[in-house]
Amino acid sequence: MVFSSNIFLFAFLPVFLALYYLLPFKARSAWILLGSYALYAWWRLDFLWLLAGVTLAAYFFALAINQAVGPRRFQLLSVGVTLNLLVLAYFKYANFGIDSFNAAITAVGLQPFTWTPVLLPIGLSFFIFHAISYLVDVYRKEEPPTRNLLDFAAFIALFPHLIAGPVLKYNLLADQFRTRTHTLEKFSYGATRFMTGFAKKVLIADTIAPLVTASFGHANPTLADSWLGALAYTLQLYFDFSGYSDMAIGLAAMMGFKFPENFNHPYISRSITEFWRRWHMSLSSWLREYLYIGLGGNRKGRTRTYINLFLTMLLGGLWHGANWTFVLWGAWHGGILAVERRLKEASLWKPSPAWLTIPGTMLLVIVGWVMFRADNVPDALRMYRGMLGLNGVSLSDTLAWQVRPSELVTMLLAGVLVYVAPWWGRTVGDVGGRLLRPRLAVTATTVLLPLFVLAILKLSAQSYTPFLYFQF
Amino acid sequence: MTEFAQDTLKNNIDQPGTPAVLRWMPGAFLIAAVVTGAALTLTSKGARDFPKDQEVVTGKWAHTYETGLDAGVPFRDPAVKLWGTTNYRLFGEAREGALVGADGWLYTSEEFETTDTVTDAREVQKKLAFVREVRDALAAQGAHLIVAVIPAKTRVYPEHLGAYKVPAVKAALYEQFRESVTALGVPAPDLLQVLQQHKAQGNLFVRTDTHWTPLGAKIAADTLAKTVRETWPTLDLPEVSFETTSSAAPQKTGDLLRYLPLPAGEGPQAAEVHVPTTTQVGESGGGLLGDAEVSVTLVGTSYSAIKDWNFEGALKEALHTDVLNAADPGKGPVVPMRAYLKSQALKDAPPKLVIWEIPERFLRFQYPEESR
Repeated sequence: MVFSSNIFLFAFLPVFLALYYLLPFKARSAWILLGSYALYAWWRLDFLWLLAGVTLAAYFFALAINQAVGPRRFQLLSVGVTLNLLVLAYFKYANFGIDSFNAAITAVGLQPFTWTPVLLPIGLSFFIFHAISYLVDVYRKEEPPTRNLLDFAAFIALFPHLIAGPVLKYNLLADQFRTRTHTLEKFSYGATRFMTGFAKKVLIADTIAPLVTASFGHANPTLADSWLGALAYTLQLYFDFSGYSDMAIGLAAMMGFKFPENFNHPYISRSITEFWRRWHMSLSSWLREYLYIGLGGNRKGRTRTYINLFLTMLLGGLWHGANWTFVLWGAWHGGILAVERRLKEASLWKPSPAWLTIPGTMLLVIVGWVMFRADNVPDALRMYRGMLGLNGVSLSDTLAWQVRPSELVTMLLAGVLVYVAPWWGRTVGDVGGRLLRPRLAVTATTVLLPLFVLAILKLSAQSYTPFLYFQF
Repeated sequence: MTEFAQDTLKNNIDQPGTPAVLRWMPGAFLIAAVVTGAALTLTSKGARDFPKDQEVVTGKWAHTYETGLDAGVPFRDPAVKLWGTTNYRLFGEAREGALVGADGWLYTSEEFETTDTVTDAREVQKKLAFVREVRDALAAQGAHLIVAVIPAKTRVYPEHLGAYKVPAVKAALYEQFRESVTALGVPAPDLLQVLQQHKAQGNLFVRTDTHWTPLGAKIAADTLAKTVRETWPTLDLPEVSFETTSSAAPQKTGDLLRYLPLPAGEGPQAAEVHVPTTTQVGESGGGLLGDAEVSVTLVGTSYSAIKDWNFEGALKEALHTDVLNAADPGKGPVVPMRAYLKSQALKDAPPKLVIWEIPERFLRFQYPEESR
């Protein structure tokens, strides 16, 4: 069940929220758990055991780690983390591993290994990361293990973040499960965020999607074809995923929870390092805390720091999906992060004007997104050939008829929003949150309301809109 | 790499000085919208339509229920109309699947679609291989095969395409396929050339429909009949006379208008067609019990199956013989032919001639049923 669906919006959400507010505070964790499991089971009932199993394992392993002393603590952590990684490996990477193995052995004339493909449970990557971070935090004694299984299970399954994040640490929400406030202001804030995300997803991302599909499906894209597709995907992905994150944050706020932000105007970044401070921030935070630091971070010398940066992004890329495209995308970002770090340490990184660094960073990001979006590496290489103009320059007639004026206008508006939104944030409210232009804020909210209705109607007209990020 | 944005981005709404209206209006609006939507959705027919015989555990039941619910919400039709109107008025666009040309002409996007030259060519080769298979299977039953390759509407009427241009890679498709069929020893007259020559007589394709008009179908039928007579001069078909009359009142038609959900009177208006009816004249040749033997079978798609175009009737009149219509709409040209080859009708009473109608626009498509 996706957030942008009639069943969620007009059946699940009103029933869930109505009972949530009718129930006493003590019963709300149980209701969250029940509601979240129901939402998960709507996809497939038979995979609910996996979610419950991962939850129970993390809960008991954390208690055991806390009680153990000496090397046994690390042993228990290792077993707990390994179990989670094995689950992830089997459900997410087994097909990829077998396919790659078969490709290698068939290349030397051997018979391929027969294998029934494994179905990837939705949200697996996220709830496995939640479980691992909890175990590591308990091991590091950053957070005592909870003895409240209900709260913990409700945290792992909390439906706003269950399917596509943000990636959260239990200690961020532990206190909020014990006590949190519910006010009309908070609910209204949540409603604003939810409606904003919904409109971003349905009105912008979904409108651009067919153009992206057409461009990436082109057999011999020209310079114009491939750049149009790459730019369209750059906008689609941002509005899709940040829209989803807005909805998640908004839904959580409607239940009194405060989630961390997941995006902070990533396309105004002036370096790839800055980009990762602004894009999918909860994931980059997780990767830093549990992977980069786990690999040794910057404590083992310069060379190891670069290698660690590279490996962190490489594995972060693989986390996004079992495909060589994601590995190469991760390597691309990891490599650039390492180079930027090196330049900075060698004092070769000179402050440059925004008109140079923002487009420069965007270029690197867009090149990366092409690999990220392509179905396979040869498809990505085909797009790159197009971007270099090796198949001609002007818009091809095989794509031209598929380019709809509404898509181009939406792209233009999306582009304007990407660069106006940061200015808007500074103009209407400062970083402390104080409203500088209350009237503008009221006007913007007033505009949002009919946009939300239009988005509902568009959703109904197009009936179904899967989220891009659900595959991860 | 990052710090949590909650440390730097505070909620404006929590801060003093925030206008009071922002503290309640978005929340109240969302509640009102969701409650209204819920009332409309949960009282709709789709909400009470629970799927039967669907697995609950694997999510199939839920998926089917949700699909039904989406289709049944009472605001879906107004939503489709609203967005259809908006996109047409602002951008001159139809919904995905149709293209709005000039002068009120609509075209299906199927006639523009290409995958890549290799994949498309492979599919066309598969079609040709099947033509060979059909030729041999019918020959084994003593039947001749003639193929009617129907040119794309865009090919016959490129002058109404407006800003759209059919991809150049499709330029030679019609002629190449027709020549390849002919090279297999199966006659396939050049209907494109004939239709182009007769454009002055009236519309040969329906302006707002994917199909041809009865006039287009008649010209094709006459051409096919001429080819049959020239190719098999000794073919002895039971003589039956037919005549065709057209309905006095025109009938509005246009399957492509489904892609333009507009208010009445707006946008391209439905084309009008005088629907012909073909009836037998006088006595038939007569079989044992007085029924004429049917020696010609028509196999094909909606171009043959839809009665309004009267392709079957036009063939009867042009061939002076009765025709069994085994066309099946919505499945492309291969599936109906596969079904016919397996049919009892072919085994029990093999015809002398089979006319197989293959529209150019289906050449690159493989219908799922084709592999069954």
